[in-house]
This record gives sequence, C-alpha cells and structure tokens, in this order.
Amino acid sequence: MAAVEATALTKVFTTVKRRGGLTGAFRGLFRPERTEVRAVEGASFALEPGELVGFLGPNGAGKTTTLKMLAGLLHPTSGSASVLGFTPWERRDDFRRRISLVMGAKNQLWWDLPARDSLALNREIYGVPYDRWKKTVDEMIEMLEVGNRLEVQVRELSLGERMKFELIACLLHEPQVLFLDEPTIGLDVVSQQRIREFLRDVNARRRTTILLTSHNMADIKGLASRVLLINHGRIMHDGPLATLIERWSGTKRLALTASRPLVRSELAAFGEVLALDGPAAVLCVPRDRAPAVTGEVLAALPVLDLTVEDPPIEDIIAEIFQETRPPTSAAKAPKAESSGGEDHEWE
Amino acid sequence: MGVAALPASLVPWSRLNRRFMTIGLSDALAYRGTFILGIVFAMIPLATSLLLWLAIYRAGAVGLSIAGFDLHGMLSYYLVMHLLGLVYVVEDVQWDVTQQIRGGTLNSYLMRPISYCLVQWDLKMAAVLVAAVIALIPASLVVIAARSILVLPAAAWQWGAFVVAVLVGIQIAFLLSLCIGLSAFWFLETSGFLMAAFPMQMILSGSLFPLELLPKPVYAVVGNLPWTYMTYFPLQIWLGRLDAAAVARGLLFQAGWLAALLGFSTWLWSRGIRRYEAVGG
Repeated sequence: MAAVEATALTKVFTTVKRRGGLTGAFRGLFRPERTEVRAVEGASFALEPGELVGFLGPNGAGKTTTLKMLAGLLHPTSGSASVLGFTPWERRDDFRRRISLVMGAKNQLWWDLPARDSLALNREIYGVPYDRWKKTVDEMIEMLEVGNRLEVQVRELSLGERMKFELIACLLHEPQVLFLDEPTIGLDVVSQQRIREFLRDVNARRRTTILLTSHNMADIKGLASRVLLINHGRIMHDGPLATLIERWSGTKRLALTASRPLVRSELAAFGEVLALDGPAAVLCVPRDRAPAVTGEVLAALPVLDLTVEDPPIEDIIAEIFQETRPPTSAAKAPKAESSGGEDHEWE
Repeated sequence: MGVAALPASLVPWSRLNRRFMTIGLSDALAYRGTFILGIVFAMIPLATSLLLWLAIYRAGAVGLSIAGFDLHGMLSYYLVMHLLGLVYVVEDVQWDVTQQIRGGTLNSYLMRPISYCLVQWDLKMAAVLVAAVIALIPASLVVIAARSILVLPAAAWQWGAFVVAVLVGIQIAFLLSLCIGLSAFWFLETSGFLMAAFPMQMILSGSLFPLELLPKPVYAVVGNLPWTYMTYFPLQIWLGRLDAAAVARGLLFQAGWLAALLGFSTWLWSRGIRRYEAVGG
C-alpha cells in the first residue's frame, strides 16, 4: 500500500475581490465580486513507504495547499487522498500521531519557553515514553549540533537553530510520514547542509516517507530521487530529476577551453555564446544538434578540453514555469543569464 | 462511551492537560510585570468610582439607599468587583483565538492529537491561578485598609456559595470570550467587533455599576443574561443581598448558562472548523 496517495485532488478557493478606494470598498460591501482560485487541479500521485520526494513549483503553484490537504488541515473541493490508510481531513488521533507537517515560515514552538519545554510538551502530546524520547532527542540534537541551546528561550534562538528544534519537535514521535514546507528557507549554507544531512538520515534510518517542497534546488538535488513538478495547480512532471532534464530541456551546453584566446564572432556560428573568458567559452546548442556541433567545434578550433553538459536545473525549471509549454513541443534555447550556483534560489 | 474511553487530550486532568497548565503558569509568570503594572493602573478608575459615590452619598440624606445599597454596601461593591476583575483574566482568550485563526497558528494545534479549546482553557486557568496569587497582595491591603466599611459575607454558607459562584463565573467568562473569539472563523476583521464587545461586557457583568441601577425593564432582561452570572451574581452573594433560596436559584441558572455556553462553543467550533478547512488559514 502506498504511504501517501492523492487521486484527482482539487482545491478551489473563492475569494472576495477587494476594490481600491472608498467607493470601491463601499460597493464591495453590497456586491462583493467573487473570484475562483483553482489552487490545486486534479493532482494524482503516490508515495511508497520510505520514499523521499521533492515537490517543486513557483509561488502560488499549489504546493502548500496540497501539503495542507494531505496533512488534514484543508478539505479538498473534490478528489480523494489516503495517507497511511487514513483520510487526512478526518483528523483522527491515530492519523495525527503518525504524521508531521513542518512549515519553514511558521513557528510551532512555544515562543516564551526554552526549546526543551516545547520538546517535553510534544512528548506529552504524543505519549512518547520518557526513555525513548530522551534517546531520540539526544540523537537529534547531536546531529543538528544544538545541544547547548536547549535551555534558551525560543524567541532568543537564531532562525537556523529554531528550524532545527522545529524539526526535532516534529520528529520525536517518529512519524511515518513527514510533510516539509520549505525547511531551509532563510538559512545559511552551513545550516542548510546540516538539515539536509539530517533529513537524509531520518529518511534512511527510520524509513520515514517524506514529501518536501523547496525553492532551494540544492535541497531537491541533495535529497530527492524523484520530483513532482506542479504549476497552476497541475502536476506536470512525476519522475527522477534526470528525466525531468531530458524531457524538458531542449538544449545542451558545450564548455570548451582552447589553446588561444577565443573571439565571439568565431563562436557565434556554432550556437549561442553564454560565456567567454579568454580561451574558455560556454556555448548553448539544441540538444539534438549537440553531437554534430561538437564535431564541428573540434574541427574548427584548437580545442584542449571540451565537455557536454545539461543546463543548470534551475534554468530548466525556470523555463518550464515561465512557458508551461507541453512537453512535446519543439526545443528552444533557454535565455540563460546565470550559470546557476550550487545554492541558487530561483525565487 | 465512558470517560475511560476518552483520549488524554479530552480529559482536563490528564497529564497532557496538566502540562499545558504548567506552560500557562510559566507564560503568566513571564508577564507578571505587565500584570502588576495593570493592577497599579487599575487603581485609578477604582479610586474615581469610590470618590464619586462617596460624594453622592455625602450629598444625600443620612442613611441614603440607592437601589438597595447604602454607602458601605456601594463602596464594598466596587472594591470586591475590582478584586474579582483582577482574577478574571480569561478575556484575553478572544484575542488569542482570533489571532491564531487568522495567523494560521491554529494549524499547529489541528495537526496534533490535542483539543484546541481545552488547551486554551488550560492556559487561561493557569493565568487565573497566577493572577489570584498575585492579587492576594492588593486584596489583603484593601481588606485591612477598608475593614471599617467593607461588607463581608456573614454566614459560612455564603462564603461557600460565593466561592462556587466565582469558579463557575470564571468558566462562563471564559466560554463567552471563547465564543467571541471563534467568530473569527466567519469574519475576516473582528478587532472592531471585539473592541465594541468589550465595554458591553463590562456593563453587562456589572463591572461599571450595579445592574440594579438600570431601568427596571432593562434589568429584567440583563439580569438573566450570562454576563450577569460572571461577576455580578457572586458579588450579590458576597454582599448578602440574596437569601438562601435566591442563591440556590442563581446557582442553578449559572449551571444552566454554563451548559448552554459549553454546547454553543462546541457547536461554533465544529462549524467554524469546517469553514476553516474549506477556506484555509
């Protein structure tokens, strides 16, 4: 049985449009103008037990709404879902004991109390035996290196420390399914890495099924073997990251180094010049033409070194979100301006 | 279904709910400074009322009685009402609930196996406990300073009935405030409503003046509303204005309002949460 299963999950919000100005506000009082927002549109997917799946999409694509439905906070407009065999929005205690939802932007710890007290409270909420709780907490604070911050009031913790305690608090009852919404938002690179290692460990050792949304591609690349891509409420891709690149990217990159400085005019004939720095250059060429162009380049220029690479995943995804074109349509060169750093956030 | 079948989250005296009370205690103690400051500043309107009534009675005939209150009765009314006000610190719940519904913090309660309303109750009862302990200081000062004029319950049964009426009164105050807070499920903007409701509650509970000063037909209605049973009814017992039969009848009414509000808040919660699930937080 799948750990998480969504079938044609749909959520439509009705919002009242607010008009500007005094007359607008007055008219809105009597004749409110309602608009429908289709936040999630027929999403169907399944997660096997122990899977770690990345959930990608631009702001407002429907990621958080989907997570909220799966965690039982929202009732769908139509469609169904099953998490560990439960219907999430019935919110049975047995269900709630087995899942966790962590939202990077929302605080779930007790603001005025030391972190330790919030952890103790969660132990009570989930009825975790003391020894087991102690063992889990000790293990996790060591892994996340926050052992010396246990007695500090949550309000005094740094964002990174708070997020780490947030994760510990949500995991000490050892949920079978974990929903994570932007767990590394606003954190420095070191904290991000710690959290990724931690999540990888939780997933591997405890076999926790994890569905994770992030705008941080390093999270997705580092953790998820499979990604769900959602845009305008629709699931557009479900599969490994690699197939996403194959399927969506119409281009390849040729990175070459010559024995002499290169000039733009001699390169332009082969493809779009993305970067040029003395003898080093990066060209963008259509995917199907890449082998042929490689041969031509080697024949025409004094090349010392040449590699063929996929464009940065950030660029591919940004392109998908911008165009939302069907996957079969013709390849088109991406308008890549940055080469995409490791921890590039594409928001 | 017996009590034994209830999950710990729904049993007020379970370890879980006692833990929440402990948290409420630390929370309340963390803000004791603000609370004490509040006590000090609340003295100003109290002194104003006392001086006003003193002037009214002095200007009238000797032995003047207004709505059945002589001078000592009237001054005692304000003093004891004031002390009760220090302990009835449950009204914050309407602000907390509104904020949690609108800010989405409600979510972190909903996805845990706990009862949101009961947790709010735990926190507020802890705050009442802290307030009662801190208020002992001004209370003893008042009793000592005003011993010559202060009216005290004469009989032991009156003391007992007073304590019971206060305990139930606090629950009524909590539930009323909770219901107002839960209205945030329906109204986007409730702060104006809360602002308006607050002075209304002050009047209806007799915090501003004895309810008997209201015109008779108005009093006939207001005197039966749940607000009357928050502070006004216990105070009537304290001042010895009710005989045993009236006290018994009053306690019965109090119990009735308690049950009705319990039912109403449960209904509001279940309807509200359905709406919340539809609209999102």
